Amino acid sequence: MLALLPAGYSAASPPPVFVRDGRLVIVDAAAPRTVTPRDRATRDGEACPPVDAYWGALADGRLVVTFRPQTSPDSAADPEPHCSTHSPGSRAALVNPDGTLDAELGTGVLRAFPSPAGSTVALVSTDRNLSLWRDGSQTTITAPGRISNAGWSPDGRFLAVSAYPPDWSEGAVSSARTTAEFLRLQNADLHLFDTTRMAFVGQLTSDPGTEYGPFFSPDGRSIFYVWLHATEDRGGLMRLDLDRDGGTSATAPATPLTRAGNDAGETPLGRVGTYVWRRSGTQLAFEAGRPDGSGEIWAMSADGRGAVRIAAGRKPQATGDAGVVFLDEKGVPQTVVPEVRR
Amino acid sequence: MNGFMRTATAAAVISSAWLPAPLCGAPAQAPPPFGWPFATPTYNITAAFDLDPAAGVMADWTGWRTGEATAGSAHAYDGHSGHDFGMVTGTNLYATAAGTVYALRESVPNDDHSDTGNYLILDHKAATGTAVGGRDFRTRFWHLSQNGVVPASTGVAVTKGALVAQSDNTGNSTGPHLHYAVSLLPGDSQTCAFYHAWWENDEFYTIDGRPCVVYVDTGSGVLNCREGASTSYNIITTLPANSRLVATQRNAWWRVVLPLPPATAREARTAAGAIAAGYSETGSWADSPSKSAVADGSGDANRVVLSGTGSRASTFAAAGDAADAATFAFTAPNQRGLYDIYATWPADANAAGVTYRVTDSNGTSDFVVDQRGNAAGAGTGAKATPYIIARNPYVAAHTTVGAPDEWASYSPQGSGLPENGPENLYRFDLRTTSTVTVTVDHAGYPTKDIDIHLLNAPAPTACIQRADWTLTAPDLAPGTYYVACDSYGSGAAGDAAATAYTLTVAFSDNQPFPDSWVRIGQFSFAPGAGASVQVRESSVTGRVDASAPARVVADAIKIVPRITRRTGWISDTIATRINTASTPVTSVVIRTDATANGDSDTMDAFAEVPIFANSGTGTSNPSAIVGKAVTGQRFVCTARSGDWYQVWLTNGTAATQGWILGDHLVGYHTDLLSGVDDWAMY
Repeated sequence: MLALLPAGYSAASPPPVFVRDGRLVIVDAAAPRTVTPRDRATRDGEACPPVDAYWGALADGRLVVTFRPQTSPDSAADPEPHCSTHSPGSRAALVNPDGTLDAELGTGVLRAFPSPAGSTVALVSTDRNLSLWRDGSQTTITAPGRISNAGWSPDGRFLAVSAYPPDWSEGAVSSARTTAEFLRLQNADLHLFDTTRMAFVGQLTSDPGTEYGPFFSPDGRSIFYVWLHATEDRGGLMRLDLDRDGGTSATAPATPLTRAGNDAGETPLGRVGTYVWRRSGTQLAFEAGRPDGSGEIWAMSADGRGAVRIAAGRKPQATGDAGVVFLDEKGVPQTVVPEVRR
Repeated sequence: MNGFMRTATAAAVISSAWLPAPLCGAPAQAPPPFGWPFATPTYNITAAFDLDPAAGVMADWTGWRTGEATAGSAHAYDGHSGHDFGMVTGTNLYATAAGTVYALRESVPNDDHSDTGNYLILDHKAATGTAVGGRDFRTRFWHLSQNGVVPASTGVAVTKGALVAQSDNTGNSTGPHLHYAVSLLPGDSQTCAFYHAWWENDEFYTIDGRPCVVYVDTGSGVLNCREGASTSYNIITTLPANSRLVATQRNAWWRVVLPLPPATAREARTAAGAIAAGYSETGSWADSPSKSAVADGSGDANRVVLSGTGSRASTFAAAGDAADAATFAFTAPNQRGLYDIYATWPADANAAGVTYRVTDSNGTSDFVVDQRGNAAGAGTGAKATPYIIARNPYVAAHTTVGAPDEWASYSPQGSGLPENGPENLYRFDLRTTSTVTVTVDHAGYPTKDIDIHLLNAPAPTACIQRADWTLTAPDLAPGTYYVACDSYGSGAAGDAAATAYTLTVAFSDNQPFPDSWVRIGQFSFAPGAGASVQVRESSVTGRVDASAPARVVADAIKIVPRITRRTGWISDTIATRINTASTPVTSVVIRTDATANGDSDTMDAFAEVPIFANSGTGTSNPSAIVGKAVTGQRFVCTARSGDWYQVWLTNGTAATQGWILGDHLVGYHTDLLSGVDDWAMY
């Protein structure tokens, strides 16, 4: 099933994990396997609902997953697609590498972000509230707006989040009666949360456009994020360098790394959460979308140059220091060492 | 009886055997203000616009409200700002009107739901020559495909029907669809996507696969036709016995297109200034509160009582009083539809740009109109068709050479003076007391000689003042007056005195001349709702001073219904009187259920109907299969051959055609739109 793992793959690193057909595919060089999460609290290990997404692993190897949302009676009666006013909430949980369910993180979870140290999980709920799960307890964070997504600093101290206006909601967007109101609700800015102080310590961006999908550089001194202009066809991947004294504010305006698009000199945007680091922070891989909803794996230098399409596929994850493992169009994990053009 | 059962009932009634023999054609219609955002109208509305913006209250585009509809019939959700059309990813989308790009976003990856998506916003504004129906609009397309926006940047012009985007599922969306919204500028107030003609056109959409449009006979009884699908709605009219109507079934009610003849214009104000039947005023012209605190340097003589029912006055005499305004508030008649609003204004230089702020069911908009009147004026100078003086000052260059020579003397003023030469006649209508100065100027005196005569009737015996060069008539009372420019002299000398001249007529009190009546625009009012027209002092070009105050005048607003077509609702009692024996077919609805092939396999509901390249014979068709259809799918029908129906297909990029066996038709559309030259609007 697996292609040959590339040189540089570290068995000590957390193995890449994918979701396929509601189950977890653990790409372990020693023992690649597929596991079905099950509840060991029940006598026969009752199967959990199908896994919807895998978000990362804790330090002890437990996997952070969300299960597929339970279908509501309303959605069953109205299967037509439409602007959702209520995102289906998921159940987030920790699953042991053998598939047994270890602990519930919460319900109504939209996205989960385990910290690099593997001790804390940031949870974004369907109504875009932020909470931190740590050692079995969950703390709700008062945020400056509605949280969309987040990224941890390498040391696990800071959490960069993208926040929409406090009155943002899915219903508010689809019910915006004026263009100004609609555009106002598209305004997401980056904020920095300090877990040692348990407080937001700075607003990193204030552009009227949309800044989202933040992730830190491996050295923790820069935040990368996606920026989209509010009304014009401009945007791309940005880098914001932080000051060296605590890293709570920007030292200079953000540097545009790519121009989003498919034309010459442009680079497609990656889906949020798919940017992964390669080669100790000198290169990135990411998943770009295709018109049919499938994905493409791309790689580029950390300065935004040399972007190259690697293959059709989804969910790229780093394999140690060199390669990228991803799901191909048939859902089979594949590995590759991208050659970034310079 | 629920909706599904009703569908089955109608299906049993409308079989292919009753479909008409004539070939069916594409809908013939007057060009609607907005086109379709997609190639063919075959997409389901999966969530409709909420007509009622109030929180917690929902009304879909058919009028169904929260708690009023039966299960499954409320096709909107609270606050929804547009229509959602379910469609596959990558469907081509088109500009519904000419316009320019206001905003776009196209970089969000497909199938990415990270709280923002791709969108395109188009402006349709008079400033760029792309206003729709004389008003500025904005249309929005949401959830678009990555790199799926065609215009490259903001400000790019697009033509109506131009490919502008491709659909997708980006942003807050649970499935591929287009969110299409229309709003009225400058307030950007949201309005239904079925604005104007679209409102009448919704029959083209499949809601839940129900049959759509049929003819019904009202039978021998008289039927009440109501504003909405409930007895709680007002009765619009009563339908006479044996009326034949086009109807759209909607649970226990039928929406019908009323066969009214083209409406006769009916003004809210009669010629005498009275309020016409069906209208009411909640107040007369009323000043803003700030007006009372403003000193009017021109004195009470220049004030005008603005209506027969009120006692307030407004003269806009104080410069810089930007907040000053006069408002004509009224209650709209209990009749849906479009209304023209006309306004008049004292025809002076200040009237070059008068702004009216109109509030109707679509919100509040400002309209700037030129009300200086017709500079040239109408008429020929003859007695039956005098030149019309319609501007202050009125300056005209005419000649008596070749003019009619009918009047030779005047009385009681000017009696005994020979005016045997040809003459021109002018007319003006004074609405307010005014001092009028008339001056004539020409060359060649005394050989050439034009005299002026002021008349209070179109007869030489009605002369109230005359002069060789200039006359001033102080404080002339309101009424109709005439000016005759006649060639002076006896016999042939009078003829020889004819010459070219310049006539100037000035009024000390600016007049709302007939030609200053200007149509502000076309509006819609909710039945019985409050509406208003407001003139704002700050809008008057050039402002005024105390010596020449501009002002609104009594009866300065006319509201005229423009309804040639409308719809209403009649109750379920006509359901058994469906007339299926006539009318051309313009679109068909597909059925794949058991009655199509005689078995009772419920899985047939999910089966597909083949669409062939050519028509067949009987039920046999050896030609290639070019497409498939499923239950509830709707196609535009373009031709018929025997029991085979030619339909338009679409793959999102180009339309082709194919043939479907009539056994699979569960309903059809008639040609609703032919012969319609105007549209009612809710």
